[in-house]
Amino acid sequence: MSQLLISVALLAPVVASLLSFSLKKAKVTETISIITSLILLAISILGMTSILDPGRVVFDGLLRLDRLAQIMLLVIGSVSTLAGWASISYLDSMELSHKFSTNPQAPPPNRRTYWALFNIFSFAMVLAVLSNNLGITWVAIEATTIATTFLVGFKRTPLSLEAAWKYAMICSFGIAIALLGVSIVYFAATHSGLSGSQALQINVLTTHYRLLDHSAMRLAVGLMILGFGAKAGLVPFHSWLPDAHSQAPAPISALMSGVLISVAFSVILRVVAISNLVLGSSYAHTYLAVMGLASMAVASLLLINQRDYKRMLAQSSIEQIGFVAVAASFGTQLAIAALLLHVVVHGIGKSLAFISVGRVESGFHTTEISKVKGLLKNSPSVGFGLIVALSVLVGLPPFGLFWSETAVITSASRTHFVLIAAGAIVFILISSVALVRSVLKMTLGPGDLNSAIAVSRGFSPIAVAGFMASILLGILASPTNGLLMSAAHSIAGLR
Amino acid sequence: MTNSSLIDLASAALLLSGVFIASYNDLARQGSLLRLQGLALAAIAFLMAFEHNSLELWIVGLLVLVVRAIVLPGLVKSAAKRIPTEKDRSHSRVSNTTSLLISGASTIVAYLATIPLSHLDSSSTTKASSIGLALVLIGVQILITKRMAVGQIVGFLVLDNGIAAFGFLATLGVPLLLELGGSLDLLFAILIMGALTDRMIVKFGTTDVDELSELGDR
Repeated sequence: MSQLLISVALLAPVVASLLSFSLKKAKVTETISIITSLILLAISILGMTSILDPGRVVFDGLLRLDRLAQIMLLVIGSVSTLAGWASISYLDSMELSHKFSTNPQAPPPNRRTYWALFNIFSFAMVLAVLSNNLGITWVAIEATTIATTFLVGFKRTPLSLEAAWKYAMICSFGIAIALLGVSIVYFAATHSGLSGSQALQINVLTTHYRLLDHSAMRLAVGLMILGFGAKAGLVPFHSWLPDAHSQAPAPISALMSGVLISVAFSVILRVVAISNLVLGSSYAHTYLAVMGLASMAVASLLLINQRDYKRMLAQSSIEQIGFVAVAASFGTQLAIAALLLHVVVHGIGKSLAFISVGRVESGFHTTEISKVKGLLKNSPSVGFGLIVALSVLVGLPPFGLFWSETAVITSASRTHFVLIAAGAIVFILISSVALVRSVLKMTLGPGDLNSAIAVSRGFSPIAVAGFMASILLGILASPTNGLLMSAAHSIAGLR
Repeated sequence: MTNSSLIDLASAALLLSGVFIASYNDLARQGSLLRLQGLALAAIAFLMAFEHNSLELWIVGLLVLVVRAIVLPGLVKSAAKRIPTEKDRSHSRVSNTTSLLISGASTIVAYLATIPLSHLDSSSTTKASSIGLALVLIGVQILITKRMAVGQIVGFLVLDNGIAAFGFLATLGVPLLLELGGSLDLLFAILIMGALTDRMIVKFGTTDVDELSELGDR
C-alpha cells in the first residue's frame, strides 16, 4: 500500500510535466497540473488516515512515507493547488499585458515551459521529502534549484535575470557545501563497516549511530546544516530569497516561500535527528539556535523600513523559517510538533499573501507599498485575501500560527532556552508590527476612482479557499494533535 | 610505477590545475585546464576501478570522463568564443601573485581541516582527500575573485570537481546512483547558468556580475 502511494506521488508530477510539455492546449495542461497537486494532497491525507506502518522503507530502502513525509506532502499538495490555480489567471494577465505592450519584440510568456517546470518543481520536492537516502535527497534538492531558476527569470526583464543569476549561484554553492557533507557521512559510514548501498540510508544511520565516527560526523553535520540552510533561506545564505521572490511570478514565489524553504528545512530535521544520536543534542541545536535567531534578527530589522511589498513577504519568510529553526533547536517533542504545524499553516498563509499581491502587482504595475491604496474598497476580494493572509502570518487566533508560536515559546522551559525564546518574541513583535503597518497602508484608505485597481475578477474563490483552509487548520490542528506528536517523536532523534 | 603512485600523480595534477585556473584570467586556457582536471579525475576513478576490480567504478569513471572532461570544459570553451572581449577590464579582483598566495593558504587550511579524518584511516588515499578539500576552497576563491559570469561558473566547476575528488580519494567513490544524479544536476545547472549568461550579454552587453546590482534593500 505505501509502495503504491509513493509510486503515484512520484509518477503523477512526472507524467504531468511530460504532458505539459507535449500538449498544445493550455486549458488541458492547467487542469492536469492542478489535478496532480490534488493527487499529492489526497495521498498525504490517505497516508495520515490509513493504518500503514509509517516507518516502513520500500524500494530497497530508498523511499518511505513516514509521518514527516506525510506532513510535508500535505504542504506541497495544498500550496501547489493554490499556486497552480492562481497561475492560470496570472499567465492570462501576463499574456494580455504582452499583447498591449510597447515592446513587440519581447516573446510572449511560454505556458508550456511554465507548466512543465512547475510540475518538475513539484516532483523534485516530493522526491526530497520521500527519500530515505541522503544522496537522493541531495539530488532532489539540487533539482529544485534547476527547475526554479528559469521560473524566477520567467519575466525576462533585466531585474529578473539578476535575481535568477544570484539565486542559481548562491543555492548551487550552498548545495555543493551540503554535498561535501553528504560525502563525509558516506566516508564515516563506510569506514564504520556499513555497506556502500546502506551508508547513506537515513534509517540505517539512525539505527547504527554508535558506529559512526564523531569527528567526521561533526564536520559533516555542520556542512549539511549550512548547505541545506542556504536552500531554506537561513542566515548566512539568505540573500537570494528577497531577490528571487520579488522577481519571480507571484504563484512561483508562493510555492518557493510556502513550501520550498520548508522542504529544505525538513531535510535539516532529518540531519539533526542523526546528529542528535551520534553527537548528542547540543551540537546541532546550537547551530540551529544561532542560525535561527540570526535569521530572525536580520529579517525583522530589514522589515522595519521595507518599501517593496514582495520583498517584505520574502523577508517575513526568512523570519518565519528562522523561528522554525529556533523551535527545532529546543528539540522537545512539543516544540517539534509545533514547528510542523507552523510550517503547514505558514505555507498556506504565505502563499495566499503572495497570490494576492500578485494581483496587486499586475493591476498597479509597481511593487512599492506607498503607491498602493484602498484595496479593500476598490478590489474587495484581493484586499480580503491579503488581510486574511496577514492575520494568519502575524499569528492572530484562531489561526494556527498562534497555537504553534505559543507552544514553541512555552516549551522553552530550560534557562538558556528562555533567553533564546525571549529574543525570538522580540523579533516576532518587530516583524508583526512592520507587516501590519504595511498591509494596512495598502488595504485601507480611500480608493479614489482615478487610481489603479487590482483586478479581483475570479479571485474570490481562491481567497475563500485560502481562508477556509487556514480556519480549518486553526480549529482542527493543535500542536498536541496525535499525528503531529507522533511525527515529532519519530524525528526528534533523542537518545 | 605502482598504482598508488599513479593516483598520487593524478591528485597532484588536480590540485595544480586548480591553482592555475585561479590565477589565469583567460577563459580558453581555463577551459583547457578544466579538461585536464576532468581527465585526472577520470584517471583516479579508472585506477581505483582497476585496483578494486569494480564494475561500478568503471562506469563512474566513464561518466566522469564524459561529463567532467569532455562536455563541461567544452561548454566553457564555446562560451569563451561567444563572449565579447572586454579588454580594458581586469577580469579578476586580485592579482596573479595574490591569487597564488591565497591558493597556497587554502591548501594548508585543507590539510589542517582533514586531520580529524585521517585518524580514521591512515591509507594514502585518505590523506590525499585533503586535496579534494583544497580544491573546494580554491573553487570558492575563484567564485569570489572572478568578476565575469563564466569565470564564476568555472569556479563552481572546480568546487564540484573538488567534492568529486574527495569522494573518490576518501571513499572509493560515491554510489553510482548518487554520481549519476549528481552529474545530471551539475550538467543542468551549468547549462542554465550558461543560458543566463547569454541573456546577460543581450540585456547588459557584458557578463560582468558587478553590473548586477539593482536589487537589494536601500
